[in-house]
Amino acid sequence: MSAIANLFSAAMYAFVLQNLIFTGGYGASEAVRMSAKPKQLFPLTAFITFFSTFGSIFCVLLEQIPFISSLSEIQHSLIFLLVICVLYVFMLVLLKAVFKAKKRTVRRLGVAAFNTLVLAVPFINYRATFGIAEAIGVGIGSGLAFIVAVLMINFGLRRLVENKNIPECFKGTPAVFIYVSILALAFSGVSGKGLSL
Amino acid sequence: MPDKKKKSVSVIRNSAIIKNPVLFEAIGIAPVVAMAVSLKSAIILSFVSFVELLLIECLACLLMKKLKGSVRKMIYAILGLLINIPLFLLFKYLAPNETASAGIFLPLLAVNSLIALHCERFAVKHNFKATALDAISAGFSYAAVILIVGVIREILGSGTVYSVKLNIPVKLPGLLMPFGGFLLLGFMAAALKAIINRKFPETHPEASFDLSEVKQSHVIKLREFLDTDLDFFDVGEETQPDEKAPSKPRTDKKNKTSKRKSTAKSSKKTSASSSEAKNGGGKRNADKNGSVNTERQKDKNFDYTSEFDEILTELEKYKQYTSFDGDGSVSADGADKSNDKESGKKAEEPKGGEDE
Repeated sequence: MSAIANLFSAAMYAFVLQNLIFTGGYGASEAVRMSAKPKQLFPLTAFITFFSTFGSIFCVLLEQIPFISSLSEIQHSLIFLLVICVLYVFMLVLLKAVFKAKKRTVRRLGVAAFNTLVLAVPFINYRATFGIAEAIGVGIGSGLAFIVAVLMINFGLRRLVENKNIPECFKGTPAVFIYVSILALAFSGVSGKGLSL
Repeated sequence: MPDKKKKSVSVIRNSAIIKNPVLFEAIGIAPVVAMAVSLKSAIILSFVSFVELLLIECLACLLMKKLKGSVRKMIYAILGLLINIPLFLLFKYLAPNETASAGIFLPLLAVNSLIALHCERFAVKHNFKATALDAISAGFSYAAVILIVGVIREILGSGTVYSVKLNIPVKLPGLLMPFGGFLLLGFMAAALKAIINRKFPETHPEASFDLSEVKQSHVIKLREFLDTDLDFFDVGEETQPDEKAPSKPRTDKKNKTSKRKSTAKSSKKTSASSSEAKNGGGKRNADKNGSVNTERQKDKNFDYTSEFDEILTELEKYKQYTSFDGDGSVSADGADKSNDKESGKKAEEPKGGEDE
């Protein structure tokens, strides 16, 4: 029961309370770029959730080995990246050999596997000394956080595109960045980060 | 020679200013918004990302052109981390506090989208000289953005520059948070865009971030993805039959998808065929339907969607054909061309009603 509670609370932490994209900036460029092309959202998010969840599970399991747990943080980063590489190759072979995936699907797989969000999840687990339940929770939560971020940015972009009152030099990425900054401010408020003046 | 110089200048101008990786392409935002909060951390981030981009792009140009894209992406990440480790250790020795405050963002620079995108777009398609120029200009512009953001955030957020206190009466510590980074990026992008619009009016920096597909539905794509994108039962994209070849019978799954997509349209089809039969096009369609039925008998795997599409196009033609007959002022073949404007206006009204 406590494992489920841990999983749920970790997922909520990554998804809402500390939305990794808005309050941490992880995977921000992927989220912003994806929000401009929402038709690719679900395939990419499915892959991101897969990599973040299984990556964090395997990394936590590897932490049980005394040799690995004694390594420094930068050496850990190498282990984390190798785990993601193994998962990437496994998924690539599965998609190509079994599902005969199309080129565009394979292209998405590369973007989903190697980004700051997926690599940050094992680091968060390592720094917070999370167990397997929390690792699964953070992995799934980060995938959900990505969906929420992309959808929220996308809905804003739809309005920005229609808005004729935006000054010429603010059209495009400047307006997008300012809109994302407002969303990030809102999530910072939810996470309880105060502005100590 | 002048042509070569012009090309080099245009490569530098495009990579550094008009297609600025952070400000106009929205690439590699994470380290900028999260970690560029002081000049010292900005120097570390900009140096590491510049060296990584330059080395990996040059290696990609020299050694990885023959590799598959899916393999290359993995190699970029591994190479990035291998370059990152000695730089991390160097900075840990030179500036331990700043390296520690950079946290996990230094190793995360290995998977910076800036590297993968520039390598895939430029390095594997151009010669070494052009690649090196692109890497240097993109790396410098990325580093410049990090440094400017770092300095502004340090001055306004902490009231210091390079840890030297400035007597600034007002501090804005909110700028040290990621939302402050996004906000600064927005204003910097607007400022650069205003400068570009004045200096190079023929260029369009907003083209780097395409917003034309922003209104497309993600829900439709989910359905497509679940049904067809992974190509569960069919052969992949490369081995699909070309247009001239006879069409391959569809699998049950694809038929289901196509049926689902055309469910809404099928009711239109029924009404269309009946109305066409009433309006004289019936004989032609009856013949057509007869031949269709024989085809259907011949091939059990008949493609229903193409039939629906044909009927829908016929219906559209029929609508256009009959819309001018509605008020009786203009005949279908355009024999009476008088009062064109008036009749056109009148004709539009029932057409709109039909659509509703």
